[in-house]
Amino acid sequence: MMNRYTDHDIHVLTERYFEGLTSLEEEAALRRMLAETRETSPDILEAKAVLGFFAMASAPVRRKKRIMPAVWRVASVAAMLAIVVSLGWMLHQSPGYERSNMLAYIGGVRTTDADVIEDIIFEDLSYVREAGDVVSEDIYSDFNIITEEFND
Amino acid sequence: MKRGLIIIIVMMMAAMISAKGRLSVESLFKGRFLSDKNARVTMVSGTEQLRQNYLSDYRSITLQKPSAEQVEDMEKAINADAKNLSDREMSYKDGQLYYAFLFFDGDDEYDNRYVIYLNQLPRKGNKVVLIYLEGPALPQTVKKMLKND
Repeated sequence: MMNRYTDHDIHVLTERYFEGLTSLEEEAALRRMLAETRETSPDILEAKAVLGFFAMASAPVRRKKRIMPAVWRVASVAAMLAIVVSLGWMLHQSPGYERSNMLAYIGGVRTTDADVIEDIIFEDLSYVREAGDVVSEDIYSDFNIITEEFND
Repeated sequence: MKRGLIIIIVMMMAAMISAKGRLSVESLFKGRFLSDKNARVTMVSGTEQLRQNYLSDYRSITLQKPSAEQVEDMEKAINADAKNLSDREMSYKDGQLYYAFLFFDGDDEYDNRYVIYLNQLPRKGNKVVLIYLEGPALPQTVKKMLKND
């Protein structure tokens, strides 16, 4: 394919370009000419640099398509499911999950009666208190035995 | 790759949170004792009475005339929790765990935990009581609460 322009045409068009007089069609033509010409005069080199820069800047950036390996996709879905399930499980296990903050099962029967539950707590704590006293007495008694042996 | 790493980190964090020092005795409050005819299970949280004692959570299991298997289950859970615990009081009678007071110091001052256990069987009683407490209360506060009940 023969060039339908001369070196003179390139210089004229370059000059018009730097003067801001070129149309879009002329700029496109100038780009083609600059790509094809072997001219190395300063104005042509400058035009090549400027137009090349703008061509780069205006060219749509072609992002490399991210291809996620199938294993990672499956792992991601599994991980998200695991997170959702564990959060749900944690919420379910939390004592605050129950609407009522007082709950008891007596012989397998559920109750939220505050008076009944308070009585249970009172009773349970009294058993433990008794045991604590017994253990304290045992410790005291053990110390006494050791002290007696030590003094003999 | 980056997203995968983030997911793994999030999963690890979730696992750490969910596994945060779960005690063996906690599983007893969700198990078969809830439907046992000879069991009484209590779960209380956030009441004014608890707050007055610097507690946020109270749970207990009382077994009336427990089977040997039930006592064994309780003892196993308590021994597992007491393992490597320095702050504990455990008393045995006739080869059986009679009384235990375990204190689990929380990561921060608000999540101390206590396990208190009593088995009356070696002393001719017929009850086994397990209490789990949670809250900022210090051991002396809990002991005081037990004494002043």
